[in-house]
Amino acid sequence: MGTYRLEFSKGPEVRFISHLELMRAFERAMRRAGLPLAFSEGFNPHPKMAFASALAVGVTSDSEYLDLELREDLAAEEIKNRLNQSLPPGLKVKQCVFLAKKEKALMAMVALASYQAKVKLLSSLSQAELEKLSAALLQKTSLVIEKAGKKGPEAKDIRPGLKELRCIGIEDGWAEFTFAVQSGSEGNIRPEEVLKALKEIGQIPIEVDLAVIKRTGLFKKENGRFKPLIEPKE
Amino acid sequence: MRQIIEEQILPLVVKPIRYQGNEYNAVHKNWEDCAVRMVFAFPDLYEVGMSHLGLQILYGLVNDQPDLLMERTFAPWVDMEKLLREKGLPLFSLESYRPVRDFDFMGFTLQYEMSFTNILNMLDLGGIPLKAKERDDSYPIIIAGGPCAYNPEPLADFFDLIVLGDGEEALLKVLRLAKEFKKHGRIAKEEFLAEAVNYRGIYVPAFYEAKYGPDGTFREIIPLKPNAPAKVVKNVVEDLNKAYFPTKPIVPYADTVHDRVMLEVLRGCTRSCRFCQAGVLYRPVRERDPQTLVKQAKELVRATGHNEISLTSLSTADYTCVQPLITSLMEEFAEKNVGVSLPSLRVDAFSVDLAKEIQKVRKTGLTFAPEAGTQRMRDVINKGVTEENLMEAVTGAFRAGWTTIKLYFMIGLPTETMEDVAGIADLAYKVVRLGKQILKEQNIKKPVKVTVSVSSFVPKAHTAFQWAPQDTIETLEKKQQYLKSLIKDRNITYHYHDARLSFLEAVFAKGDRRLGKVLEKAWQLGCKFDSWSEQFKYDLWLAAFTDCGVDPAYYAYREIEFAEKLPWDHLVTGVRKEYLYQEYQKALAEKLTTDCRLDHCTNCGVCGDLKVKLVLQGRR
Repeated sequence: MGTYRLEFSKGPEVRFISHLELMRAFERAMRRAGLPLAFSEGFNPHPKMAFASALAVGVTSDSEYLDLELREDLAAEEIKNRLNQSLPPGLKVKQCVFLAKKEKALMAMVALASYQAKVKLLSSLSQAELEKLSAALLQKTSLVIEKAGKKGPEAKDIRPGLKELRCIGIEDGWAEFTFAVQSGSEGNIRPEEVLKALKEIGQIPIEVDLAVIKRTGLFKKENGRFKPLIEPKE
Repeated sequence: MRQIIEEQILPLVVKPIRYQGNEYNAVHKNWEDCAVRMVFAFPDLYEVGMSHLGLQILYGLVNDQPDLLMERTFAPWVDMEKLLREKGLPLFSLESYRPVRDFDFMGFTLQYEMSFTNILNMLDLGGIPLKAKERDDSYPIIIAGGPCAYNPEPLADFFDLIVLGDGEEALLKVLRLAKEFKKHGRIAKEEFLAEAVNYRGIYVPAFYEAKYGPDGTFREIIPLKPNAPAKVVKNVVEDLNKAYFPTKPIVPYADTVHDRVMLEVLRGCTRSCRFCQAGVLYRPVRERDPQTLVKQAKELVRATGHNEISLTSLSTADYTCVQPLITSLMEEFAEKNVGVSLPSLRVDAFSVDLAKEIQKVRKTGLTFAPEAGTQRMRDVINKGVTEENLMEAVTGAFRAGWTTIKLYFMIGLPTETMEDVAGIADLAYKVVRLGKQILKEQNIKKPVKVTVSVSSFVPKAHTAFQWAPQDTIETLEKKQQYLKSLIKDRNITYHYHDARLSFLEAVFAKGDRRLGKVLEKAWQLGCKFDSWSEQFKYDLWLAAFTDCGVDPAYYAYREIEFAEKLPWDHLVTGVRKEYLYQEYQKALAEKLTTDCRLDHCTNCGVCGDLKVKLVLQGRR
């Protein structure tokens, strides 16, 4: 019985798969790879596999994580190689480590997510102007946007969870922003909400619906510092 | 084009996964390396089309040939179509995102009549003229196969070539012939088609002319070209063990209708239900050897990673080796948590035993199809199921722990009376009572749930009931409401289908070439995805019939005389017309016909005329 943590990427080839479809794709790849999966008990046994965070349809990622339990121990490198031979185009395991001690649920560890978003500009603005507008947005004490709630629209202040926001470039009329937001079960902020704030509060004329969004990292918080979910070896 | 679609369209549509492609095992070949390129077109949504075994077979087969290429396209949902049209983009293939127009062939599968408007819509969205005669050599050759290809007459104006029967061998011949033509540049369509009709089972509608009498009835269809055969005979793969079998099927990301390994255990069915078209089209019964099947199952699970193997066929419980096959598969896969499933059950205790064996863990509902409510009615349709069979089956099911039973019935069958309709409710009540009693005995607190699903009978070409009139919409609706009034029980859920859709299905199932203009008109008026109730626009269909001066009742409601020629007489399934008529007469006399696998040959004509034989792997 070994538990492993995997970091993987979701590329543009599979940009439009949902979280459920992603989980199923991994389950099938594991079966094709012949990995000795551990299954849950009960009427409908499913492989013991837990993902750090759900990724929305249309969003790609450089860095996602999952914990996997196997019935027997295998070398972490072998798991990575076997999976990479069995995964569909666009899904790739970047690293795999053996978890020596029991850790808390992966999902509960996630505290911060960083994103990169390319959005079409609806009027021509310079990068300097966009940088200024982004900085101005961060100066505000609250950023209240409207989000769809269970009982109709709800107001949500994303300012407390917005940790970083920059415009890093313009190319062919598309502006590129990077930002980091609080993520996880408490106070989760979705990348589209940040873009909405840019447009509606920051008055930056962008096409939100067609944004190309990529998650660039998922982090846990330890002693006040954000760290990746697989810590780099010393 | 890929970039525009991915960046500007897919973020805005429902389930963009339908159009993404890039699935595991999808084949991306180098366009330039392939002499002949075909796009397989499924005239319905991706998740429906990807559940179709025929697609997987032909896709694997063609792409295994180094000189040939096959990609896929599906009917885009209305939101996607709207955006493509707004941006002036054509229908494209999922693999290379090329316009369908760029292919040498576009091949549609004709699975059900109510997908016909989608075919026209897909051609139009592909920038391809609808009518065969309006397409010069610069357009793809539009071909079709599948069950509705046995009466493709309503589509005769639109298709260049139609393949009858098992497509595995015939399609390759057609594509290889095209390769020869392409050596001299483009495929000269006219000459190509004239050459292709020399192959068995190849029907070129333009090489025939339909004649009608002064009273408007169909008279005959005659070949216009010397080498166009007067009768086109279907293709039959004689030995399924040697037939091509895809070992690396595409694994969709999306939740498709059949999201599992499809292991085809046999082809054909000779139970001889008189309403059933598939039972005629796919004769004779050809079983696969169980060892081959276990080997294929292993390869498929390894190649797909699916966690379920479905034993598919028209009637899997009839497979002579079903028991040893299931035992072997369970032994092989139980530990890996790969389950085995049966798509449908025969109404008997044996089937329930099989279901018990394979569903040790997953207890979903069980489905049975008695088809009719009274013994008299079941004898008319030659269902060969008694009330006792059903009661045994459901007893077994309730005892084994199932609490949900689904029952499929049909109304509107020939000779049906209100008493026969009431019989459906009676059976449902009997099942509920039995279930309550058994659950009580076993101290199970769960409620019994019985779902009664009632469709309306649609007479189909090439069946014993092809001469029979369909009940009118009014009669069907009256029967539906009568049944509704009889079923007043919290344990029973009652579903029925839209009778207007069944009517149109009958019109097209037994239609002739004059329906081509109605189809085109209906599509122009906005009909598509007719089998999706939220898209079905019956008033537009009626407007199309009126506009074209065609009376749909002529096709669906007439009792046809045996002497009258039928628009599909020139397309040969192997089952003789005389045999079918004899079956119709036996139906009216409530006489049964046996299964030739169990008893003597019934002289349907298939084995003798097509020089094929029943292939059984074991004794029954």
